Amino acid sequence: MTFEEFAAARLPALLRYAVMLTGDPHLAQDVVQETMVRAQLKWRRVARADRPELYVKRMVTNQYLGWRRGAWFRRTVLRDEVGDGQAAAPGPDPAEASAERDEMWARLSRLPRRQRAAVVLRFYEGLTDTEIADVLGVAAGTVRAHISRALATLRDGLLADRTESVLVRAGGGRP
Amino acid sequence: MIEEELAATFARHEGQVPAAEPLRARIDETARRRRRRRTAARSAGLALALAVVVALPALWLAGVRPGGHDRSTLRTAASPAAVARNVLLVTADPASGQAATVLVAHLPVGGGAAYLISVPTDTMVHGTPCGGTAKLSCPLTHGMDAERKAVTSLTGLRLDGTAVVHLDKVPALIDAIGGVDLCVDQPVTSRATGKSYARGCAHFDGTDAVDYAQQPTPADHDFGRQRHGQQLMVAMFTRLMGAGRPASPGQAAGLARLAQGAVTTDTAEGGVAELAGQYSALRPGGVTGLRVPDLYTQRDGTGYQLSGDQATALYAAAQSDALAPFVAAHPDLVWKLTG
Repeated sequence: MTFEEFAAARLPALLRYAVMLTGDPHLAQDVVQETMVRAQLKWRRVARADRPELYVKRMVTNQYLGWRRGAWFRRTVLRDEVGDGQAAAPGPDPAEASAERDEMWARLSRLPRRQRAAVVLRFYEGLTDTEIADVLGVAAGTVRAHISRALATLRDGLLADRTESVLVRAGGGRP
Repeated sequence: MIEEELAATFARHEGQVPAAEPLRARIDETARRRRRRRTAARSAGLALALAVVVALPALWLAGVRPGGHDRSTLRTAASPAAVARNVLLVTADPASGQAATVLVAHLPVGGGAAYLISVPTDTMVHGTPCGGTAKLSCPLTHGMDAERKAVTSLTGLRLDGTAVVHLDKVPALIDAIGGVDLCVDQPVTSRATGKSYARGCAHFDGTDAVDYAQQPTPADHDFGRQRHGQQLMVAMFTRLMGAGRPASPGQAAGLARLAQGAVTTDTAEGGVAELAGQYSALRPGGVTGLRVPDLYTQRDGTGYQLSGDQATALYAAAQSDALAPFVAAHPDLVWKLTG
């Protein structure tokens, strides 16, 4: 498979994955661009992998996990949070239900990043524990722990949101 | 239940996913820029490798995979050639399948020079598959191996590689580097196209350059043809080092692809990068064109060149990597290849 074929077939899916992973289209785009540039430059090695698409998914994930610590990420995240605030701002939400669903998205973004990656890989990408372990470079048991912890947090968060949703949203950040 | 909410949340945010097309273009552009930066230090080596690949017998060519020069191919910062090498280059006459060109490129230790030795194709050789004694042009009809054996037995040279140049594919290659500058030393009219090439220097496109280089000359016949072939090789080399130098890795890959189509080598893949590095100091001015001293004879009504003492001395000098002193002592065998 050539890089061109790979990009044509997989780029949209990688972008979708990155949006779910990062919670932000701009960041997703930057992460995927950087990953695909690197993948193109070392394509022969990528193509030799058993499953190139998993290999590249791992690159995307690592890019995200690694970049979070850098100044670049802080800049992007700040921009991102400002953007979120503005998006949430326009007055009282017409539908309570949709506000709750946005709360789910916000909850996801507050998960520890590895937990979030595991959740996205499982519930969005539909990967098995073993595949997720491969992408994250951890043991399958760790993946299961990440996921169950993440689900617990999301559940608690949702319950909390449902009782004091207005306060939380007005705060625009951590409770 | 939480799983369903997650799935719904993800599905709802798919609307935020950016379009792939513009990103695709940015990826390519960024990769190109980065690759260029990375290859900047090696670009001289790249242009040269291609030049050597095209102009010299393409020993290097087998490993210059299309698009493959970006990383590993030219990464080797090889030290100058530590051994001398001889490479056999032939072209075939499309009608008869016989050799139209037999040329040995001698590459001395150090990698900064090259000697092109045109061996007359009507030189008498013995023990060929063409009924024993025959002209050097004949064994090629029995395959490259037979031709190689004939050249080895004639010259005594150890041949490190062989290459067959497909002349019908060379014009496209020349056009891809924007043509070549050649100086016509004798007015020639093409037997193939009827086209006349007047004395003087001019810019040639691929078709004309190859046509011109294949014509025997009025004054020295086949020797003129041999010389023009060498001049064309150096003209391509010069062009590749100058105005025809590939501007991007993409262009270089395109050239490599054309060159690969134009030349078939027996060289194992992988050695190419290293070899290109070993000859990175070579420049067009370092290429010396040589003819083999002629000694004409007739046998059974057929004209042959014989390999005389002087020819034997030339081959021996090449085999012992001592062509520089030999050339200094025999300026009459040296052809002017440029200007």
